[in-house]
Amino acid sequence: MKTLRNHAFQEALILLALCALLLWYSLDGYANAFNKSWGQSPYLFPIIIAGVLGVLGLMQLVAGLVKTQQAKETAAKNKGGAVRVLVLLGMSLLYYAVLALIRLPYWAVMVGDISLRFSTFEGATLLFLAGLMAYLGVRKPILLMLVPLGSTFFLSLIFRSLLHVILP
Amino acid sequence: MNLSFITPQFVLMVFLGSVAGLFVGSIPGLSVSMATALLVSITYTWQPNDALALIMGVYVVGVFSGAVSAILINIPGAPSSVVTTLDGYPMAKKGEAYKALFYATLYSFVGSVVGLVALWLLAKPVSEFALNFRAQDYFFLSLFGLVTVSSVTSKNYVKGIAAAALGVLLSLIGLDSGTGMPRLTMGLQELNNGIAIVPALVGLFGFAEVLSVVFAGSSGQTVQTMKHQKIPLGKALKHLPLSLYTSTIGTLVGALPGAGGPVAAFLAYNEARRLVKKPETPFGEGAVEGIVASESSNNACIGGALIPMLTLGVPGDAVTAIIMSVFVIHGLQPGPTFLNKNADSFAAILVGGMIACVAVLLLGLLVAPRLSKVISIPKNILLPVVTVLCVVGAFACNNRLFDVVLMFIFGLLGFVMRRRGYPAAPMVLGLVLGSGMDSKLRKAIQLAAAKKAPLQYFFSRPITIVLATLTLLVVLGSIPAVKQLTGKAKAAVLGKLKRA
Repeated sequence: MKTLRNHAFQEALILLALCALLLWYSLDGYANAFNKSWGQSPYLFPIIIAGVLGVLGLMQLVAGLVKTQQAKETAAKNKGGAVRVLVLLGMSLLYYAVLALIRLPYWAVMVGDISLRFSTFEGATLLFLAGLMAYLGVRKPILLMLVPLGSTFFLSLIFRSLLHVILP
Repeated sequence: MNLSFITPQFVLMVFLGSVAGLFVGSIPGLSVSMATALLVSITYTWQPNDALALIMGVYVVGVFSGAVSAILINIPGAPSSVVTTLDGYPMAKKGEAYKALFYATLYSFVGSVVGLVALWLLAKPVSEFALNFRAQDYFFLSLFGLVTVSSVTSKNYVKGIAAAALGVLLSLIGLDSGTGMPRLTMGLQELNNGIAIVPALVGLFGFAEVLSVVFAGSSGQTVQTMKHQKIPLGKALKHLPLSLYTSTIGTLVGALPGAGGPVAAFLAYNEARRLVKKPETPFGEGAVEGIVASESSNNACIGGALIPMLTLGVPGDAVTAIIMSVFVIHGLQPGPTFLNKNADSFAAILVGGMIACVAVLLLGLLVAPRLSKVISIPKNILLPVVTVLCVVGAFACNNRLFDVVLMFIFGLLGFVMRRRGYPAAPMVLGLVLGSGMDSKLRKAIQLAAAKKAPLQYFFSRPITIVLATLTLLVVLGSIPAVKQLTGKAKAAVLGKLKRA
């Protein structure tokens, strides 16, 4: 178990697994290909990369084995940090899901010649920004209201109205 | 040279483009190539010279502005600004954002001017030299760039090369250019066009930074307030020789189609590390020399990249490829006869570029420091906004939600890589250069296979031998045992010399 806890050893295993997968993929693809010329084969370069990854994996393996004999892992554990990262990822994925799945009808406001359009992106962004700010420790209600509103309006104005960039 | 096209309207167009360039360059996710592509549709009905003026403004200032976000929030506005993050962001964290921006502005100006002067003087000879490059030379040039970057950006060269190899592997995903067969796509149709650079870049540098800060639990902290420092011009110009040298590297690399700003910046950074033995601050921790090398070289690439585009019709990078479409739209045909047939347009590019260089100085010194207030915003306010910018930036490049998923994956990958000491920059470079390396190698092998002595053909030319040897030397020089041996040998020789 101590060996597995060693970072270098874990990385070596990942690199070697990638190497094995890539070798299998390339050789299998080459075997089934009509054209057997390596010079024209799309599997030549993946095999070279597999070779490089294999050599690097072996080097990391040696480094990992030396490390376990020499010293304990010093990497600090940060369970709270991992939870915060997971929550942030979860919120981001929820934001993505809303953008991908929910379609609100557009409504537009004309300011001079510029048409300001609002839809799912604006609503989802407003909620996401306020939610994430609150999770990261912003407690002032004025900030929780103004920053999401201002940022969303600014992004919508610049991207959608002025640059004509399609927003999610 | 007829300069009658220089009217107030022409100058205004350059400045308008420059302001747009500052805007798109400093906002992560908005790229210069995207802005130029958008402008092609706007300038469709304009006079060619006005269109060129606007686009040169966007191009020159846009490339410089990539450094603004690289310095202030550690997200490079363009791949060529990746190197600027290495020293720019540490300076910003120390409260020296103003100083970092000042040097980035000054030496972006120098780099841009050197590149444009080179375009003016060397357009034909440099293009003819680049024309001599064969497929194997391009392959070795890319390989040299990759191993150099890997050795520069990580203390552990195994991790640097592993990151580069993973980047190259990711670049192979998609339809193979030679056979049209899907490769490593896992049956996903969305991957047929390969992995777009923008979502990868935004994820590896933007979202990974957000995750790292949240993980460290410093989201409520603010970065040290920016100190407005007075930098004497004499002191600032101390780095001019280094800047001129790295600008030359940038110009030459820019002139090689496909190499572009990232390779130039990394090569220049490596040269700066080699030449400057005792920087005031170590490289990677806020060395001014790092910013000077990176910014001079990537801005010098502008002039360099225009050389093959104008004289051979071969674009040096993505932006020049789009600029070429502006030429075609306006009935101008880049190629060997372009300089003779369209002297006015060539002059408009040069003059527009030079005016844009002045705009770099003005905007960089007057407006960019105001932007540096971004870093004094509490991170628990800034991080959610950056996350949304990452989502928008990833989506905007192809208008695909799949790219947002890719951005999240790359963000997570970048976060894990950071935790384990794997640098992200070689991965980006691998992603940029990988597919080109693949096609060039296969082309070289096919050509060599047709000869009687394939290996002899492969290494028959001095350019190939020099590039292959340089690559080998960099790899060997990164191995700790070789480093120790050469260090001992150096010390022994120096000791003998002292005694003598």
